[in-house]
Amino acid sequence: MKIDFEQLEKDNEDNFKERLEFIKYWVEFIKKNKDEVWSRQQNIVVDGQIF
Amino acid sequence: MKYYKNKKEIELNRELSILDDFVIKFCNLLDEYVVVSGYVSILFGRSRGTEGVDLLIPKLSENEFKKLWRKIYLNGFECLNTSKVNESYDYLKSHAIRFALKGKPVPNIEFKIIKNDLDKYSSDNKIKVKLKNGALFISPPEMQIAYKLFLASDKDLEDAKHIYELFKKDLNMKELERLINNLKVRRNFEKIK
Repeated sequence: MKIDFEQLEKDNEDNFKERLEFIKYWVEFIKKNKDEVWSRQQNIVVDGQIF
Repeated sequence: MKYYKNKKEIELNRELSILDDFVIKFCNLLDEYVVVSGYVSILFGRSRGTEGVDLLIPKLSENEFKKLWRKIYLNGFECLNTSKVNESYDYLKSHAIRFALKGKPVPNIEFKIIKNDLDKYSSDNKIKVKLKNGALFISPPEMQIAYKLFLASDKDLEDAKHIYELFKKDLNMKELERLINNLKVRRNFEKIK
């Protein structure tokens, strides 16, 4: 198996930057909407792992 | 959400999650505490799950701890480390202990004693968050950001980014800068700005 570690490293960095961009997007959504609106969506993720 | 900086209060009208209800139920049993770390980001909208909620409390005498232990058990929680109160009190001197609802290890409360200056800072400068069904005391956003930058896993940096973006307008930038310098996390701050 050939592994391009340099490429993997770069993909990882790009992925992290994309996640930070999404956080910025999500925070804008939070600011523009009522607390009830964003929290209802967020609760699906937060409570998803609670049985 | 409204942040009343002078009053050190935030009004948050979010729909409460099962996790929020769990944290409020536990915190209502305590006289003094401050919630720190990941759950604070989640309370303010970060969309991720968590197993543990970190909570700091002032040092307790053995008697005070035994009284609290009884109250915690009577309210349906159990300690995940040990079922013996004496063992638990000894363990708490140097470690965190975890409490969860009986038979439900997730989510749980990671319960720690205030030990160092960072803990003390969080406690002395705590912010009251008024929720629909109660209130919680949390560490201030400036410390949340700086400490998460110090922990520095991807998840921690993302938590820091969330709090930074959300509170940007209201942050005490001088104080944030001071904490960033003290914790030597300038490079990580540049990554998330």
